Order: sequence, then C-alpha cells, then structure tokens
Amino acid sequence: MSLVTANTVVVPAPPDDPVRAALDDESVRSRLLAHTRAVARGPGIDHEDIVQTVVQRAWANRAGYDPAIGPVSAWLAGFVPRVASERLRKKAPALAAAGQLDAVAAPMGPDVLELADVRAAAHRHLDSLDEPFRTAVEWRVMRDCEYEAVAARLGTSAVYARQLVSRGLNRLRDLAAKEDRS
Amino acid sequence: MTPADHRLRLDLQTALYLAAIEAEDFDAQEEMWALAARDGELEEALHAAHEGLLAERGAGTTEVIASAVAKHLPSAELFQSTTGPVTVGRVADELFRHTPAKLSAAAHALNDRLRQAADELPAELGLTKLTAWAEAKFGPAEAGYWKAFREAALVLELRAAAEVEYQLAARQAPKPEGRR
Repeated sequence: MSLVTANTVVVPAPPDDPVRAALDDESVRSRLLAHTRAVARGPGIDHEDIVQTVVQRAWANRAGYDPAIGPVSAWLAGFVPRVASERLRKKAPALAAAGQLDAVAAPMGPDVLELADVRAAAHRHLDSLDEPFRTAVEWRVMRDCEYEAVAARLGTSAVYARQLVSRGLNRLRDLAAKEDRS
Repeated sequence: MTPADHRLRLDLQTALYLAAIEAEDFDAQEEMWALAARDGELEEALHAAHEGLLAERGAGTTEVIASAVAKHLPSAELFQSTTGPVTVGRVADELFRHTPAKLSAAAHALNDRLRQAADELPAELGLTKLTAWAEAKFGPAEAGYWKAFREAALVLELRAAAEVEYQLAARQAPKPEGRR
C-alpha cells in the first residue's frame, strides 16, 4: 500500500532482494575481496577488479539465486573461483614466462578419507608429522579440542591453528596415500 | 554422526579446500562452494581458511622483508604497520631511531628498557598526565626524556590515524548497473 502525504507519494520498498542486499553489504564485499586475495596469486593481479567482475556477474545472474538452497553469501562466493580462473588463464603466458606458474592444478580426486580412516591414519602417522603440525593434529583430531584450545597449546591464534590443522590433515592424507601405494 | 565426527568432516573439507587453493584447482574450489551454499558451517570454515591463508602469507612476507632489510640495510628503519594500539615499546623504538641530542645516559638506559614494554599509551597525552602515568609505571626520568617521549608518541598516533584514513579511502568496487 502506498502512503500519501500532503506533498509526496511514498512508494513502498521493492520486495526483498537478497542478492542486492548482500551486494550492498560491506562485510560481504570484504569477504569477497579476502576470498579473491586467497585464491588468486601472482604479480599484476588486480583483486578488486576480480571482485568487481564477480559483483557484475552475480547481479546479471541474480534470478538464478534460490534462497531455499542456502545463504546468498556462499552463492556469491561461488563466482570467485571461476572469475579468478579466467583472469589467471588470461595472464598465464606472462606468468609462465616469469616462472610464476610453478603450481600445477592437481585434481582433488576421490581419495577423501573416511572419518574412521583419518583417525586411524592420525594414530599411525602422527609421529611422521613435523611440529607444529603434529601438535595441531593431535589436539584437534585425537583430543577433539576446539581451535582456541589448540591455539593456546601452540601459543598462536585460532586462525593460524586452523591452518596448521588443515596442513597437517593434508600431510596425513599424503602419507596414507603413499602407504596404500606401497 | 557425532559432534566430533561432524567437526572432523568440516576440518577435512577445509583441508581439501586449502589444497585446492594451493594447487590453483578452481573446479575443486567451485565444487566446495557449491557444498558450502547448502552448509553454513562449511561456508564459515572456508572463509576462515582465507583468513588463515592471508595471515600466513602476510606473516611470511613481513618476515622475509624484515630479514632482507636487516641483512642488507642494517641502518635502515623498517616501517611497521601503524594500525593497532600505539604502545610504550613502539614509542621507545621511535625514540631509539630518532634520538634527541640532549638525553642523558640514564635516559638512554630507560629507553632501552621501555622498548620491551607492551603497555598501551593512555588516551590523554598531555605532558603532565603522561609523565605522571609513565613515572608511576616505569620509574622517574628527567623531564627532557618524557617531553621527547611525548613528541614521539604524538608522531606515532598521527601516523596511525593517517593510515586508518588511507584504508578508509581505498577504492570500492562500483555498484552494478541498473541499481539505484
């Protein structure tokens, strides 16, 4: 219903548009920028330009967002890898010439370990991990501690403790795969 | 699935995502974000992975630069980020690098000690109040030292304020077309 005052007609706001609301949200944009900085490395990469393209693409595809599926922030983040990939591919010849393409895309593969296998691998290979990954995995996976507790044990931040656990788990995965092959 | 299983599953997904980022495997990253679109906890974990990665790279870069400067330019001053609170230690560092001519040996000794202090400066930086606060915490010193200390503190406060303003002025992505 429109509200009529002496001089103006106040048009009611349009129906809720979660994509537009998210794109207006500075915290969402900050996260997109952090996301872009995390995934796209190398000289001459304009992260803000990538975010801008993500925003434009999300806006152009806003009809494709279904609130029933999940949060709009994750839907927006899903555009980042594709746009970053396109930008890096464009820059690939220059980066290769500069010796920057030392990381070759590796498939993640189906070798996601079952949870029981991970715990078993942690018991078998814990001693093969270097510090601080060993302590991080031990306290997180085997002692089932929160990241804050792992961080306190290691004298670092919870954010960094999470990185150490992730890297330790990836190392365990490599060790388990190597064991399977031999 | 127990809560511990649930957490371990999230940790494994986060670890795989980190591996995908480091391998520049964008298809795998997209797959993970498709999962995250249906799982708020996974979304938070992936964002946290970004934070960790950026913090890690930032720390690594800072260490490399500091080490290179210390090795090749021992007399150079490495400007640290001025965001965050100005501490007594940072002010004493500033005084160490830009020492006024007339400080006594005792003042130099006190300044060396204060370089280790992590106490934040008080909000009020008037000379009388600052001197009273500092002498109560660190012991007496000649008036000239506290005057120089206050001037260095003001320099650092101004530098910190300027950096915050610079960050606020950093360019923003434009709004998409068709938006009012």
